[in-house]
Amino acid sequence: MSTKRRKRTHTIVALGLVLVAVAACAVFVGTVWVPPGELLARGLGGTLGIRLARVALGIVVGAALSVAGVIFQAVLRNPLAEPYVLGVSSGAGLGAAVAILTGWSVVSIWVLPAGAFAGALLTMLLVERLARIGGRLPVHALLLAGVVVGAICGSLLMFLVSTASMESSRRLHDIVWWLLGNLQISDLSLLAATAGVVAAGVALASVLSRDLNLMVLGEEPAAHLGLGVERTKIVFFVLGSMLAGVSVAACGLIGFVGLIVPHTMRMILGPDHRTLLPASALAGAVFLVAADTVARTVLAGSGTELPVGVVTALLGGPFFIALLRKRRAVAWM
Amino acid sequence: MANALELDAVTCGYDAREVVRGVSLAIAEGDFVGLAGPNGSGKTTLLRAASGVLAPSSGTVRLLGRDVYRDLTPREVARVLSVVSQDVAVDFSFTVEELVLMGRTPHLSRFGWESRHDLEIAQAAMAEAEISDLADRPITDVSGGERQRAFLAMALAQEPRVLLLDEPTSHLDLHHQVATLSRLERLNRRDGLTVVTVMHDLNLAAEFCDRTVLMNAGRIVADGPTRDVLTEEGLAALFGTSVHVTENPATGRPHVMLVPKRDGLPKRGDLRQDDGGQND
Repeated sequence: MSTKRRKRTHTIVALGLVLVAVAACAVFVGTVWVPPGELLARGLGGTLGIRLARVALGIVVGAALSVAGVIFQAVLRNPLAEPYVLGVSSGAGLGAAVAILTGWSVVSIWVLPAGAFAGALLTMLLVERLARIGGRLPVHALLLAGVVVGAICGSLLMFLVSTASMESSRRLHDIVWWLLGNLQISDLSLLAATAGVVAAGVALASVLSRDLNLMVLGEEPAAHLGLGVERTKIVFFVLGSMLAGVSVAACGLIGFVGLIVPHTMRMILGPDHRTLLPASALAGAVFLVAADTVARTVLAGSGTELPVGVVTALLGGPFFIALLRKRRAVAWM
Repeated sequence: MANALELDAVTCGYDAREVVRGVSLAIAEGDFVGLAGPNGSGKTTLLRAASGVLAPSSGTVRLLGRDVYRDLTPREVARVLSVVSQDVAVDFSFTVEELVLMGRTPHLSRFGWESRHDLEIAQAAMAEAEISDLADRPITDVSGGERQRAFLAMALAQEPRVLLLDEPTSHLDLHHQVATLSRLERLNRRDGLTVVTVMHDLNLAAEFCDRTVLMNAGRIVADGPTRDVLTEEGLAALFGTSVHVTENPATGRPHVMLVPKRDGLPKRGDLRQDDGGQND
């Protein structure tokens, strides 16, 4: 319908403007207050460059995690699915750690994201397999499988870190900080690589978003409407794992973005993925940049800052519990 | 002319378990066929195989002369055949109209949006299924019967030549049971829509299906004009319970009446007298 299509365009333009505004504000706010004039005068080599990189990473990763949430929720037909909850982020973390500890990550800028992607995809497939009971994917089975597989990946990660040699563990010097998730990035080529992958992934997912509308009806009804279900599932598992994986490779485990943002957007815009998916990408970028600004400034008085993953988890945990309780009231199956 | 659907020695099931065993069945265009049988006799699985979502381990399924699993893509199948499944649960709050519009998907270009023409078709389908007044309600909010009719409207919006249904009246009240089947009958007579429906209620099958297929343990045990298939002996043997078949005086169609066994049970009146005796 043309009206629906117009509404989608308006939504995307409006969210784009919000993103520009929020990003601009975020650049001028930080642990240390630098007057805007001075900030601009010092140029990209100074604080401005660092903050721009950080805001850019927030945009990229916020969009990636939100879209990964939209994808997993639709393909698994589970409104509570999300990379962090499904253990996919932990799997990606394990993959990234293996890439670092084996030393392969110094070979090419792509090894780290690729390792995280491989970890994410394998975890996703394992969780889906474990949770499948008689051809169905019950909500609670999926959540349990995600928690358990995520915990195992987390333990393996810790095992690798504690047994690694001093030299290689220095490569993981900020492992705890990284596990909590943060948007500090020193390697601009990693930022560029991540941005490229995410842009491609979000664009492809947007183009294919109509298929997600059919997937939420269930595999068989989707097939009856002419969808090649198995192929669609594989494409979206790969896309979702790729978006979650490269995000983890760039900035560690940032939880619940893929839950909060898609649900809020669904409440406002409805469940049609052709609007929901691109809108969630933009809103996720807004959300993570804003959350990171809070993380940078809330403890500024004591000259320190929080990892952004702490902020998103503090917001997302209660959100998750509220959704879980609401679901139980409706249908627990 | 090619048959609408033609199953040739179809065997299929799940993993190693065979649920349908060597079934051959030819359905001509314009047929209105009922599929009945005890629970677990393979009716739903047969529909799955016929609809292109469960490839048979042996045998072939042809839709309008072409092999569903070899010659046709899922989209090509969906343009001529639609399915109303039993109990589809949706957790995402699409409106009824959005859901019905999804029935247009196989006719849209790969990345196209629904046109005004598609919306008109969806609205006509909603009118057919008597759910026009629910158009803006979330599908998660409507009753089981309303949801069942919304999925029927979605299947009609596909503009199929062949419609497969799995117990389409299971959640409906008396009015909508008769209304739904009358509607299918009208589409069948008026537009030549081929209808194959699993029927739980033998009397509804008797009223509406020209032809009835009875299944048991994965095989067809009777197939023919409904009047010849719904016999006292046949049904008693198939369901393991006695029935009495008479004629509906209003329509002249067969009518199946249950005859429960009560041998050896005390009559209700006797019990009440016994109770009274003890109280005294």
